[in-house]
Amino acid sequence: MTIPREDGRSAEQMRPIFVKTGVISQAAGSAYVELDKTKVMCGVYGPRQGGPGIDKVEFDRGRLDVDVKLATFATSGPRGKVAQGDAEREFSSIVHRALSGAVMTETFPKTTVDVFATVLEANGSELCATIAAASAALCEAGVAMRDLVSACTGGGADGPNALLLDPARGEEAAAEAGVTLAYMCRLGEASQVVATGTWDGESLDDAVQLAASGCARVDAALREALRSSVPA
Amino acid sequence: MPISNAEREYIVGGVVDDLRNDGRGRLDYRQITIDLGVVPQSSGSARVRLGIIPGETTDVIVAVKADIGTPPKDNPTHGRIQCAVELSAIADVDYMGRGGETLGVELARALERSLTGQTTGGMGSLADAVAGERGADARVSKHGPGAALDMSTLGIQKGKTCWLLQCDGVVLTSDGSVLDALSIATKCALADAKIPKVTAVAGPDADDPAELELDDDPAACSKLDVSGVPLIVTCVGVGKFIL
Repeated sequence: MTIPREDGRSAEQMRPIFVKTGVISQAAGSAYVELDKTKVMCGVYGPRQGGPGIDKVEFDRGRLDVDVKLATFATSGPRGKVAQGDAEREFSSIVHRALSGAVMTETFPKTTVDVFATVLEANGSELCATIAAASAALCEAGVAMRDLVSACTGGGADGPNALLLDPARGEEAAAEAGVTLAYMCRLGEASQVVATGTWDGESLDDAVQLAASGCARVDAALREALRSSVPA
Repeated sequence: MPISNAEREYIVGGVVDDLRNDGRGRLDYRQITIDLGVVPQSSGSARVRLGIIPGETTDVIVAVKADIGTPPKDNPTHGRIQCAVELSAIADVDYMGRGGETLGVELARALERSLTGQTTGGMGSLADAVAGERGADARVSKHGPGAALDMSTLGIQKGKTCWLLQCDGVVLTSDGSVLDALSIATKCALADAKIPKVTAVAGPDADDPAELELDDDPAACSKLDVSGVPLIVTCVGVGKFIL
């Protein structure tokens, strides 16, 4: 059932995605991702000396630290706060969990890999864009990973019949329920599923399948960008 | 908490045989002990303990304080609710200072979401989450459909004043399922809460802001209907099994 969407997409169509790596010269790895009008820049530093508390981590594993900040000019409303708030800290934890399933921390014991992301413009699906950017940046930095992590959101408005892939900002606000899936496409494993709203088992399954198809597209875009960045 | 490989095998092997370290089966919940009214200086409070084996319990206290605040712009007759969670250093020395801040923030936001039913933007939109933080008062969520408490009973003066319920949790000991314990304690604290009766008395001039009179009589307090407040249950997967 196709419902006309604001930007003319079909229900199962993703927004155009653009990925470029190597955008921050001093970082070990970096990536810039655009999901239509949502723009995220990510830089990865490390493995490097661990910050405070590194000796509290298990002796045979390294630490993955994720820090995400929404730029003060990212939304069309009033200027945002400069300091990182609770929402951004929670967002960072979510991205961290999505990446933890893939990053092989046993390859850099007693050191830290820092992932810093800045959301430059927010127009829906910032979580998906951030996870994609972080995956690409980690890969470019040479951090050992089991697979690239891609993420995509399926949103439901007006009940389970209206499942929309990759909701834009307006669609997100109107959605009654949403599920964001962080998926490792080649491995066929999900590293994180975040669902909000009311779902029944079947419609949640459908939404996750839809999100997985979106993840496959993101994965393809990431691989294409990473391949083209390797000098021939 | 680091465990040795031998301990890991012991636990996993036990799970396969439906026998966990404390003798429970895979689907058994620990014994729950609830005490109400443990913080007399708050509007309502509860202390919840999961488990009875000393040293292996999860112990939390949630206190609810009702304050006067400003109502949300999109619902001027509604009240507000906020949650905060502090992980005390008693639970783990790592939580001293700012150590437990990230985890505390996550727990608090999870509780807040379960109470307000906020689904706008789900979790994918950082901009909406941050915007939700910047309300008329700091750190207030939007109230979506299916909100746990009927917020419309907490308005005082339309568009001007309302009850602001602040639920503050303290984690005293942590032995797993902390979010479960916090959600039980929040529900009980809200059930225990007594909201004083407040009347707005107009000033002598028509332009004077109305004064709010609080009725001191404890019998005149109203209670909250917590039948819609959800409880959170944590499950983990060990091998092929779910605990």
